[in-house]
Amino acid sequence: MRGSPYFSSVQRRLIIDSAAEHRLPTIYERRDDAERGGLVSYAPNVEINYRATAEYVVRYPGG
Amino acid sequence: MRRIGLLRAAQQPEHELAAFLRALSQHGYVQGRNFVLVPQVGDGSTARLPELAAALVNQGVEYNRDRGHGGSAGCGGRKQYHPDRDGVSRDPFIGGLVKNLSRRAETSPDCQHGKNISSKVFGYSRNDPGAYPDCRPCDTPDLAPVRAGARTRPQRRSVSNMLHRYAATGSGRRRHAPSTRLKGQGRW
Repeated sequence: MRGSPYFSSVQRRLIIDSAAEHRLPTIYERRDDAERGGLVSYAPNVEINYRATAEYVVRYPGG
Repeated sequence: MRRIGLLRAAQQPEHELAAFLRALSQHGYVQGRNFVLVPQVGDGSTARLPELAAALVNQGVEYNRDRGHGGSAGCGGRKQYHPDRDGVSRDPFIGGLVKNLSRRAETSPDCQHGKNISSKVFGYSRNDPGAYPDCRPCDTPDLAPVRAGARTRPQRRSVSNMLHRYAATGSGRRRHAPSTRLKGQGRW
């Protein structure tokens, strides 16, 4: 299981490729990782978070 | 034109940003027409976040900074942020901006809109934005719904709640405001 520090986001491609090369079953914390070749991901839908963020951005400057 | 800042320690997937922009457009905020997205994206190092945040704010991104984090209390203005001068934490992503957005609405002691009852009592007109056109956001908005169950809890009988009820009852059921209420006139 791979954690979620930012550095691993930068090295995402390398981690996915290395895990596949060594046949290491890996659970990723982002859906993108599974779509890019990772075995499986278990993660919240981040797009929902961004939509909710937009709601508050609208509320915040607009009052 | 509003300037909305985007602070990221690392590059984000395109579809996430697209979801954000799409949601904004559903509320009438279209990039390039009535707002500009100001990104500050790092190379993956969280240590650079304070620097990125300072650069972001100094680019003129609008935000309100609440009291309790050093400096003067904000009231809807643009302020220059410096991590060494402002905020309890030197990391504005952890202890500054994000934390500020999670705070409940409060009335700024330096607010120049204190004469407006809606801004003085509610912080801003969160219940009916059209009812108080002169009221500007004086502090961070009430993000209580972020916390699970915040809306479902019974409201505390605070002065602000009583004043809000007073304002909402209209002339037909108007009661005395707490400040003018005489002793023994009943409960709210």
